[in-house]
Amino acid sequence: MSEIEEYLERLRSHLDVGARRADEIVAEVRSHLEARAGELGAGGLSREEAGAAAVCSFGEPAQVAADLLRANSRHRRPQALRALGAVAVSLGAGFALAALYGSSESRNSLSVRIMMSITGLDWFNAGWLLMVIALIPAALLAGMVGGRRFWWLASAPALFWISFCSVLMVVYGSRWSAGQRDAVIYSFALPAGDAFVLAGIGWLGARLTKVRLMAYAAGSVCGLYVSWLAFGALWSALTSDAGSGVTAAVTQGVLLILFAATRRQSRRIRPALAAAFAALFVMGSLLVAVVAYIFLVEGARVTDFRMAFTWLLAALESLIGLVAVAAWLYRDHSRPASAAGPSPS
Amino acid sequence: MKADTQLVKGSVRLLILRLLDSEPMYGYQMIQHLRDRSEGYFQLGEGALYPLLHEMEEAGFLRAEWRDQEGKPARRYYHLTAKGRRELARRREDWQGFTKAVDLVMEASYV
Repeated sequence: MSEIEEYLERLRSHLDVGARRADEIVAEVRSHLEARAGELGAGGLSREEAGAAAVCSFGEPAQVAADLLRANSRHRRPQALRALGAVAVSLGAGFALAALYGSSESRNSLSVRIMMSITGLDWFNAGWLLMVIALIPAALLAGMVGGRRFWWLASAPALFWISFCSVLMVVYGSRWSAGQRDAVIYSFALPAGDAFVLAGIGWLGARLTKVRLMAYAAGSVCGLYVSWLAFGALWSALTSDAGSGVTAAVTQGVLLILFAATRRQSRRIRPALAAAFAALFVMGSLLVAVVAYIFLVEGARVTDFRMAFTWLLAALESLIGLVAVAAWLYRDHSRPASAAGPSPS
Repeated sequence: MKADTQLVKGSVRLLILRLLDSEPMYGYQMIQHLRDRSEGYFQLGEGALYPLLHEMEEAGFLRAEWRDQEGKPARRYYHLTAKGRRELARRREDWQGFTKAVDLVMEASYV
């Protein structure tokens, strides 16, 4: 790799802006450095020497990037929004799991489910481990999307809950019984643990952003998780409790798709999203195969509404996964990165 | 003669606006023009120019467009906008007022 390309790589790694803007900045700096190197080359320097001198006179990449970031602050906002999107996905995960597993009748209202997913993850009969497993990739993804500045966002709901409980304690604490106070203190401990764990995982995600393999891994886990939810929803549609599970799974899927559809995706996060949708495709295809087997071999009736609905949803999931992966492959590989500058902003 | 950094910092926006008032330019071209027209006085830091240009673009004084070049990377040309022209007029007026005031003080007799 030439000195100039190496420099541009380093500069890009510090540019914490949307992919499109980062492409523009890097293309502009490349054009400058090549013009400067050309001028130095015409003055008698070798190609390598000219490249090194051009890079040297441009300045330290970290400092240049910091100045560029200050000047491009408007382009950083979508990143915070995307990180919030990832947090919404993680909350959606909690909600969906609550809908699927928090089935004890007394806690089945929507508000309780949402509160439970924000706070005490282990108050569900069977949900704790699943919830944590589900939130880990979501927090990883939030950190990867948010990058260095917004890695903590996955823990924001839990932190909010701690603040809320603090205010409650201050305002109403004196009127509560000992039992009520214990309950509130308990409701501090769980979200505090959640906040700590999720912030830590978000930080890890931000640190691992450059590691493409980790992006694939996190994306696959997220995709499998969403698929698993959809499978659970379909299963419940096939058996008895159709409503809540399907709603939860659809909410999850829509959130993931909306998140993926944001225009300014970081190039680093694309592998994660591609892997997520690839996992959706695999899981959806499996479901299609299973339902087709039930139709063809077991002889289920086509007039069975639930079965047809299940098959349609699975086919849709598979199709969405396939189209999303194809779209990413097309976008990332259809045009050369450095042959020409990006389109005008 | 080496330029005073603070003086250059204070006037570089005005200089960029003035350069672009004559024709659209790309970053490296601006550096060359500034250096040549000032007979080497203005040696603008290369890495510092682009943040400044982006900042002025964000403020609406400049508009950028990519122009393809045969066999070379595309270049980002900056144009002055109507708002940029007004800003140039304002800064030019400020500058003239400032230099006039400095001249008055410098040329006054203190005997």
